[in-house]
Amino acid sequence: MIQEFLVASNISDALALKRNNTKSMWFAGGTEINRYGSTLDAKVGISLKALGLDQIVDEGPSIRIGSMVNLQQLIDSPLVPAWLKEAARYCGSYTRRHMATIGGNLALMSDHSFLVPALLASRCTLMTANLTEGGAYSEDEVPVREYYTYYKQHATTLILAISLPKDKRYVGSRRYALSVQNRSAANVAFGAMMGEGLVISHVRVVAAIHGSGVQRLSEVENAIEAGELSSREDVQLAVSQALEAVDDFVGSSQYKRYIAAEGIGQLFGEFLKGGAR
Amino acid sequence: MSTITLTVNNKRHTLEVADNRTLRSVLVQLGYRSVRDSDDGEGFVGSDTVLLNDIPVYANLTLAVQADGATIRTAESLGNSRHLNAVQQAMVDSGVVQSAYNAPAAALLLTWLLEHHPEPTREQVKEVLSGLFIRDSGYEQYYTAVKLASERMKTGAYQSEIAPSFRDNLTYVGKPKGKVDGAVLVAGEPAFVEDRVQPGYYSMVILRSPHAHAYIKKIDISEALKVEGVETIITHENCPDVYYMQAGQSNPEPSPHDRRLLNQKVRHVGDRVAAIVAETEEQAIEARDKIKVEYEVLKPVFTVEEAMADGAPRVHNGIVEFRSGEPEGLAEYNKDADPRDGKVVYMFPLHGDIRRNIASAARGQIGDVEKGFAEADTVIERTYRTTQIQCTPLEPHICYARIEGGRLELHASTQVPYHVRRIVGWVCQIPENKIRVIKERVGGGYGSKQDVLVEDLVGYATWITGKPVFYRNTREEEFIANSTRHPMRVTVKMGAKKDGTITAVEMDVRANTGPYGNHCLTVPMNACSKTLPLLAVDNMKFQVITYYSNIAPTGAYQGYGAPKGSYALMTCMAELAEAVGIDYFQMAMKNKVETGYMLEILRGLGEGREGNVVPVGSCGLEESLVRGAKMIEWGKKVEGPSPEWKVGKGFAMIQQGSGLPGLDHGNAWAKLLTDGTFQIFSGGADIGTGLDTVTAKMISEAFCVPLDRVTVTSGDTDSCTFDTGAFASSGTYFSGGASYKAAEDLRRNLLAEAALQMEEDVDDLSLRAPGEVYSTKTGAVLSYAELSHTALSGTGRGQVMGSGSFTTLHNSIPYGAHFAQVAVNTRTGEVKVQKFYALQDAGTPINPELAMGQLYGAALKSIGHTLYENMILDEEGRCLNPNFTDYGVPMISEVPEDFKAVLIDVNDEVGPYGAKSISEIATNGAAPAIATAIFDAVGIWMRSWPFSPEKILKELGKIQ
Ligand SMILES: Cc1cc2nc3c(=O)[nH]c(=O)nc-3n(C[C@H](O)[C@H](O)[C@H](O)COP(=O)(O)OP(=O)(O)OC[C@H]3O[C@@H](n4cnc5c(N)ncnc54)[C@H](O)[C@@H]3O)c2cc1C
Ligand code: FES
Repeated sequence: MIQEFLVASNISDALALKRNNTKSMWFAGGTEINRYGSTLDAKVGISLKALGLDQIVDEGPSIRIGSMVNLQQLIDSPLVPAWLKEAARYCGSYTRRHMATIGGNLALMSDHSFLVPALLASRCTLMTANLTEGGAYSEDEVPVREYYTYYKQHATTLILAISLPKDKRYVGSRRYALSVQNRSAANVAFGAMMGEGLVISHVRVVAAIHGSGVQRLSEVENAIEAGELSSREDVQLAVSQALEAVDDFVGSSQYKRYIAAEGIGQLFGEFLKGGAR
Repeated sequence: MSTITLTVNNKRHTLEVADNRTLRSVLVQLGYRSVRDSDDGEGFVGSDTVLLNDIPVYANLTLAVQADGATIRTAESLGNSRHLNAVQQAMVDSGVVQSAYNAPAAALLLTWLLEHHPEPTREQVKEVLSGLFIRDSGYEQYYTAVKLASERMKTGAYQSEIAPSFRDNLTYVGKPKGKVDGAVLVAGEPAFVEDRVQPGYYSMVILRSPHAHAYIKKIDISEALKVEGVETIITHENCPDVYYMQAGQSNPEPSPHDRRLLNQKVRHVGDRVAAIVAETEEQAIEARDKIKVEYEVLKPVFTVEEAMADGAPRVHNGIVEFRSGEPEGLAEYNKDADPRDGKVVYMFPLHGDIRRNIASAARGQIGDVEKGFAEADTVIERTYRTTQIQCTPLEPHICYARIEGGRLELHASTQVPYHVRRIVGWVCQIPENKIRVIKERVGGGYGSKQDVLVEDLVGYATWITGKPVFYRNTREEEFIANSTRHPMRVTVKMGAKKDGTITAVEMDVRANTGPYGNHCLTVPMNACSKTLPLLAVDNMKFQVITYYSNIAPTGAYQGYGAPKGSYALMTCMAELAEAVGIDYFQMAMKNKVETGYMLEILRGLGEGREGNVVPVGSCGLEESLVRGAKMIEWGKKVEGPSPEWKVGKGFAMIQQGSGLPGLDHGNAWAKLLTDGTFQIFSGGADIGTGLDTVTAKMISEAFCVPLDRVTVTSGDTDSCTFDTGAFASSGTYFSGGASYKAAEDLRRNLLAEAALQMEEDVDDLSLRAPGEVYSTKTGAVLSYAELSHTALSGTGRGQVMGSGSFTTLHNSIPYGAHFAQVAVNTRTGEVKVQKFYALQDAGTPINPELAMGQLYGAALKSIGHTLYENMILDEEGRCLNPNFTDYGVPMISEVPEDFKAVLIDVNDEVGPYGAKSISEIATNGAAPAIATAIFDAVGIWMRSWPFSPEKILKELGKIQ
């Protein structure tokens, strides 16, 4: 639980506050930070509410979603693609959806994440801000896969916005939990593009598996792109072999592997049937 | 610290707050008490919902500093109990305000919805309520409430029906008239224990065992006692040497007295080790952290199989005593006892054998089952298993006690105020006249508040310290140190002839009572006694054995053992029908009981004594079956939305009881006040179900006066008369029966007094609205006010009063049938309940709208138990999911797409105005109805609940 709450007046101020306060944390909706039983531990919360990051803007070739946009805003906005609305609905509580932000969700990178698998499958880009070692202000465009891969190094990075390209790309996700508001055993996503001559490219296969974290299955992605896995069954088998899963109270490792593979298989099948989302 | 400004309900507050304070704690401090909490800030339940800048948020998940400058609305802004807004009124009228702990939050959300969408769609209602966990009434009637409110806001009046009405000859009984305590509850006004706590109270916290099974070798509280503000620390070394039982049942109890306030042996993770009382909660917690305990850790047992194994560790290995019926050889039996285990004291023999971990056992039979099986063409034997389920009341177990006039006064959230008084009296070793128990409104009980789980310790701490003491379970404590459903293994053997006639049934119930024997006989017995009498079978036999173990405690839970027994018996019958090759519905129709059938089986099903054999009385079973089958289109195959979704239909016959004949007892008394209004005092404990409204209606109906002319005082042991309590479906039948008799007695006395005052013959007098005595002979009229005034004048004959006491040996059994249509995904194992129809006969539903809510609530709860609710322990006995997110409870998103409650109209010959019970029975249908529907869909038998996707996939052979 945080002991001190600081409201940053602008982005530079936010970065300065972060650097000057040890054990500090960006504070967005606070649904995870404030929550009983949260594993997050910080003494100082740096509120992002005054930074104007709560807008969804059409930027022509892409859509820019401020990191403070909440999950209900995603659902309500006509600009947001269906696949992201669907993922936002995985948060089953309307009230909590009004509080939980996209930036907070992404930054948590949790093993039962609502949005991370879909965002990773979308190949979105993150607009970030940081201070260099010397203290100079720097903004960056970070592909979401890079943020995922170097997640630990991004501990102090401030996500300003998520930029979704409007290209014709399939993105879909499936979440498996006992009930809508139970913790999920698996949340999986698949993203790809279908080019001329039915060439499949830019494949992303992602699974958030309870107890084993968010996993990007690069080998499966490559095999699909190379045409080595062409049927739903092929993909399912490859996914179940590639996935890491452990037994825990949410489900057995076997179940998690099965269901994640099934989900990705379904998404792949849907993709093959055609249609960008 | 920060200075913040909040505009709450149009009032500006500027205050200094610590940055880590939640918005909820600040709002409560400012007096907005309707903003409640049910999960310690987990952000799941939504009892803390407020509008922040016109957006719904959880106040407990929001820091006060986050809300600086914001405009906030709480439920207090909507109206008060004397002037409800349209939504609040519609909620009361439609019957959704039951235990109502988060009814204010629901009223706020729905008011907000209607402000933005005056005629919302079903989807919009569902969406807005999706962040609210409602356990009592299910969610279905909320749609009615919104519709009614919307209509009234638009046209000034309701256009739709609130609920069905029964008994044209009656004015109040059988009509939806709202709930007498509904307005206070929906407005969020003080009503619960937490609202009674006065400043200056002391806090209690409990140090709990980290081990499932261990002796306390040493406990050192010296450092803890030095913490400032600490008043006392109670441990096994200084607590009274009194053995008792927390199950609030009839006295003498059919449960062993197997515990003291604190024991030298801890028997589950979360068992009490020490209770710390201090001026503040922080001090108590600091002291708790300083207590040093050395344990001798023992091997635990967790399952029935482990408990019954040869050489299994003994959960209780103390001295066994009997208050009556001591068997021979007891001294020899006790030779082996370990004094550190304390004692197990049986009030009378329950056939326990604690050296084999058996807490109790029972058996019985009618006819000759072997002969019956020999006559059968097909015999099958199947075993069904059920897991441990949590009651999850939104208001956790809570108690506030203080010394008042030298007596101990407890404000309790209990189903059994008189058992609280008795048990606390035992523990404190003081007579009952020194104790007053005031049952406040109960924010959900579902059985777990039948057990005296916190009042014993709080009462004792208050008595010895003289200080006011407040205690409230955390949500985690609700999971690990509470009453839960007993896990059971039920084996059913059943035989039938080719034509579907069942020739014999044998039921073997092995129940897991956990560390203590709360209801260890009655709950498992109910697995048989509330199921076998559904069948008109001549040869039936049952055996029940309950084992101690080191799982989290078990106890009473709505339905007792019936949901488990029903799951096993009905599913086995369906399996038998399949084996015989006959339609399951036909088999049910062929073998069900009907009015007049003599229930010989009841003889062996008394609770520790011989039961009464009676014939089936009023019975809506056949009508429930026939109408339900028609509604669900039994036998008609339905296609799934896509090839992997398979659809199937199932059902179950169900029954319960209406209290316990020969054991339960209700008492009430009533008086005519000086202005002609009435007050009735009922011993019954209204736990949100509408019992006080039943009580008020007994007077309203008898005297032709509206409900607001009747005041009900209930659950206060000082002013009310004894009642066994709200459990075993006894409320309407026993407590209501007593109120009916009190009203009749008062009516007789009032007429006698009127006859004297009017100088008329009693036989010529009748009562009529708006509250007067009328002579059919002379046309003379005497208002109740005049009558009372004269009776209470200096020359009068005194106050007109009446009293009633209700006991019976009659068994008014409610019957019903629940039907389900499910879709099963053969690739993912998901089960969707598409349709659920709950048809039940409750005799005369005295409060039909509340009866429907009870029915919806219980049915949805049991759907939750069937599909996902489950307490999971690790190999050390620690609960891995002691919170809502990980445990899983049905939210509005889980409500069946088509959910209907149907009240079958039958009139009972004994219950008040023909009433029987309604709610417990409704927990019995879902598991077998869904299990049989799953079989119909995909051909697998689910023999262990919950039917999780993982288990379905295993049965389908998709995973091992
Ligand atoms: C009952 C309950 C159940 C939940 N279940 C789930 C679930 O199943 N799946 C799931 O994904 N989440 C779940 N959550 C967690 C949470 O609600 C969501 O993940 C939410 O999206 C987090 O957003 P927030 O704005 O509230 O984050 P916060 O709590 O404010 O912050 C979360 C983390 O993100 C960091 N952060 C926030 N914004 C930024 C930013 N712009 N740049 C960099 N870092 C940032 C914070 O420093 C912090 O470490 C649950 C929460 C509750 C209360
Ligand atoms: S945080 Fe909402 S009820 Fe506890």
